[in-house]
Amino acid sequence: MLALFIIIPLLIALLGVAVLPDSYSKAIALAGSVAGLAMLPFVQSGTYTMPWFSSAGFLFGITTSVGVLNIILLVMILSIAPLVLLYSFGFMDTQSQQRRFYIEMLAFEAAMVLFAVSGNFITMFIAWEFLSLTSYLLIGFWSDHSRANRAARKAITIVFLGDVAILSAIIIIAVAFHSLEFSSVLAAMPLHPQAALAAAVLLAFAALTKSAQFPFQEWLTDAMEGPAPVSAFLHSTTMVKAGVFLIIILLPLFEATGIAAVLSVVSLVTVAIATANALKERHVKKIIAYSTIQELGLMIFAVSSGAVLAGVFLFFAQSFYKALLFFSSGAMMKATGKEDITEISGLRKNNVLYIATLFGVLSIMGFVPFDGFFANSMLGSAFSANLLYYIILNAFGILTSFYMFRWLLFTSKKENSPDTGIMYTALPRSMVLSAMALGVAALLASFVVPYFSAISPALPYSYLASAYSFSVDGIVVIAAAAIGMAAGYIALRKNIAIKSAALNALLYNKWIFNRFYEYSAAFVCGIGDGAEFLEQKISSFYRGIAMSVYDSAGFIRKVSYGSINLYVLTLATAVVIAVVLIYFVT
Amino acid sequence: MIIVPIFFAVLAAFVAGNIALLAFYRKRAQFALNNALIMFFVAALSYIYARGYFSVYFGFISLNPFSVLFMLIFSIGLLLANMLYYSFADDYCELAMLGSISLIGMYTVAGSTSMVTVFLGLELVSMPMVFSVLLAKRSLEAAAKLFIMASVSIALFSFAMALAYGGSGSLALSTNSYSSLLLFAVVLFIAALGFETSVFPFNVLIPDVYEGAPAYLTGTMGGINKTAGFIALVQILILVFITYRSAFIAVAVLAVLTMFYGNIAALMQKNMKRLLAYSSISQAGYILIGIATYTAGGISGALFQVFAHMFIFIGMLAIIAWLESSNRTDIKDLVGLGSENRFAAFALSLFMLSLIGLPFTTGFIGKLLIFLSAAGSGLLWLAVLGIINSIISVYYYARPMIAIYSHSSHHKKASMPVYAAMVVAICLVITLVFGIYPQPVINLVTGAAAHLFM
Repeated sequence: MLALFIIIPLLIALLGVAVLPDSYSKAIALAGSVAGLAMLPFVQSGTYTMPWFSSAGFLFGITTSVGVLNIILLVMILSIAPLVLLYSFGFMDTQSQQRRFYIEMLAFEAAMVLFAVSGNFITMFIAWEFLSLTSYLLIGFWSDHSRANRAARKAITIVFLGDVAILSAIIIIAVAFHSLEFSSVLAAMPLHPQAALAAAVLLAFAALTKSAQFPFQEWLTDAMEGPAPVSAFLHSTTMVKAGVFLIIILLPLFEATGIAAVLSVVSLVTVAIATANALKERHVKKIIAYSTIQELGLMIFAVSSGAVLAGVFLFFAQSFYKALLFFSSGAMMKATGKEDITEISGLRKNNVLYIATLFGVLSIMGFVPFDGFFANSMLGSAFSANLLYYIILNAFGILTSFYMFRWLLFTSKKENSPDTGIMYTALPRSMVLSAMALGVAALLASFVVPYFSAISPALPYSYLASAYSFSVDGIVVIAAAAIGMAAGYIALRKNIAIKSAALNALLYNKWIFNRFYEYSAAFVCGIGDGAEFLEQKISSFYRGIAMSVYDSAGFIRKVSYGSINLYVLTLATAVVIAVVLIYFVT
Repeated sequence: MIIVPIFFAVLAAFVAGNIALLAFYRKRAQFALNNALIMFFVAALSYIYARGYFSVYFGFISLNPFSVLFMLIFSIGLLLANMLYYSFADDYCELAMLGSISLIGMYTVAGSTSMVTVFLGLELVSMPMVFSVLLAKRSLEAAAKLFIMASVSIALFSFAMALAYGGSGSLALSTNSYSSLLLFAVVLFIAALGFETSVFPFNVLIPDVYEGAPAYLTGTMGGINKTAGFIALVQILILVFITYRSAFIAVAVLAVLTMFYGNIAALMQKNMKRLLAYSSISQAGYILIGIATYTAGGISGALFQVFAHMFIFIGMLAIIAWLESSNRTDIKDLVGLGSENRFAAFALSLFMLSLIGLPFTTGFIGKLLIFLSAAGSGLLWLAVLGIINSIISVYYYARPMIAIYSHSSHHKKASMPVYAAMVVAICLVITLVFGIYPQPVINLVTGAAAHLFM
């Protein structure tokens, strides 16, 4: 049976939100996403195809394929979605915007589920396209903020570049392999090495745009203009991982064509850039966004260098604490009305929120009972044979724990004014509870570790099998986290500014990246302006003719030596050029 | 078999009745007659298609899977146009009469057996449109421009026919042997039909005409007349000039120019009708990609896109015509449409998303078929340029969509006239249903394309 039935409750809820009065929006949306979660146990593994249409002997089908990887992604999406919607109850308190918000969120969740179960390129492309569209709408949700509009446009520019790549890849694959199923394309790969290479390059490009990797990373930090629940759901746990997921499920294609090596280099560069920026950034949500880019880079690095299991576990484990950190950033921004971590204060006024945030920070730093620890130490074990990579990874671990601990220290310092304290205690309960639930989830996700070792043989990819065992790598991870933590504390106490030439070189050379987008935008608009100018000329020219038509006295005179001659001349020129062209071509 | 003569007799009666009723100015009666008879045509054509009564009648009109399919599509299109005229136009009776004449033209184009009948059919389609535009008081300028275009097109087309006759001694729609005189003729045919189908560089007047004419007529022009132009172009290029490979290279080049011209010029538009004019130009570019492949697959993709575009365009212009009746044709006037009329707002956004190529709409299927067949016949570069263009188009469709759903202070509910709303609903259903389940339409257009290549 097609695994599409999970989407049905989401679509029903979407219709319900669209049709019923505003006051029901919240409840229906939550009910829909909970019902989606309830569908999860009924998913059967296997590949199923439903013919969609055929043309010129080519059959297009909707294929769903459920394996362990798909289940992992489904669990992430379906379990986090209800919590995000619950959080939104408190966060989105403007009544008039709620209907649109919940419709867009449910549409996004449905697209994400479709992506998670897609088993061929056409299904995947459909989901990919809907993901781009809904994320555009959600980033620009506060459409009266000009920054939000600009961020949404930038995001869609980059993400649509990926869409061009992916559609081109699909066309190449369809023509070369006469099939769009993942399994048959992967099996027939050696027959058409050139087509496989072209497709791999285009798909890798698309994955890098979606997962905000170098050189496309900047849209993700700008996307923080969207509401916090959107950041927590789309830009840390689900949508940005679509690129990583694509790389994981098509890994044989990337490995056979040698693109995997390119991906591992690119992702390592991204990790370096993102870490450097996280160290310098002061915007409370953007720090978390940079750390997301960093983790996405680590996932791609791990997967493309052969440490698939570690990459997949990071892929899974990261969702819970990252969503949680976005939840608490959103809560801080709501309580204090500030965005800069040096101005935010008083997190400790709300004990539950503080403890939840602490869980998240400890997990991302890699302390022991939390899932972040297992992800980091698996990563360490996987690269323990390669000393260089091992050192690099642990160095990034130290830096991560440095800036994350600083983030926590800044935001939890004593409040500036008594009002802040009141605002914190008055935060809606749904926000605090959903944050706490995610904190517990980050703890519980650790218990999945044994299963991760056990499930491997069921996977189609045999090299995924590498069991987890507690080793010295775990101690190294904790040591790195502790060093970073201590350094963060000392730096804050002594007020040491981070000055380093090497670090500065890695910072987003804003002038390069930003200019790149500005120039490309200016280019498109410039052409548009030019076209408008030309068009005004042409139209004033014809308006002249038309006016002359009404002006009966001057009619014959104007037509006989006026602009109509020129008009016909244009046409004649076009025809002559066409004739000459055809002669040359023939 | 008896249905075919009856069909033509009723067609004659349809025109005669419309002309006669014009004397009485009974809007309601004329509307009823038009709807009833066009529905009869739809039913009769479906019956003819289903029973396969295909042959040449009276020596000049050929009923075949291609022509009957497009006669059917034209009839449905005219039915929709007729409802729009009834809802918005002051001069419904005249427009209905002119529409009935143009229906004869459309049937002639679809079922033509020689270049002369294509020519006659096209004139019967485009001349009534000039008079229709002229009827609207403020559209003299648009009518004048349309007239200029139509006359240049006539001139080029007749010259092309003269050359074709000189080159091969025949005007039949059948494959010709190669001669340089005919090569010149095919260029002129492309140029002449370039006016009807808004192909660059013959389309410079199109945005002015689409903007200047009342929106309900723009819908007919961009929806039905353009389709007729494409049907003529496909027939002449495929049936007569299939061996002239260089002509198809010219079509490929024109496709690229048309797409880029339409999409880039649309970026900066402030008026909705003008924006849609440019977007319809860019759609013509995608359709030309399908024609440039000169394979049955590419042609069926192009025909699918022609079908998709016709209903999307008429549906959009129905909404614009409604807005135009309260003088709101700029993009900024769309602000708040989402809270004023939820149905119109949803439909307009969905039509635009379909033109971008959102999956599960007809626009997506059409583009997919076109791009795939282009890549399959060695024109991968053309497919990639097409994909790039469909991404550019996101930018200008995004602005009206954002305007539609942005918040406005006045929450006045407004409803569309009932027949206009019906037109929008029909177009929306066609766009969605055949986007989700495209197989029936694909089978029809594949049959039509296969007939051309027989």
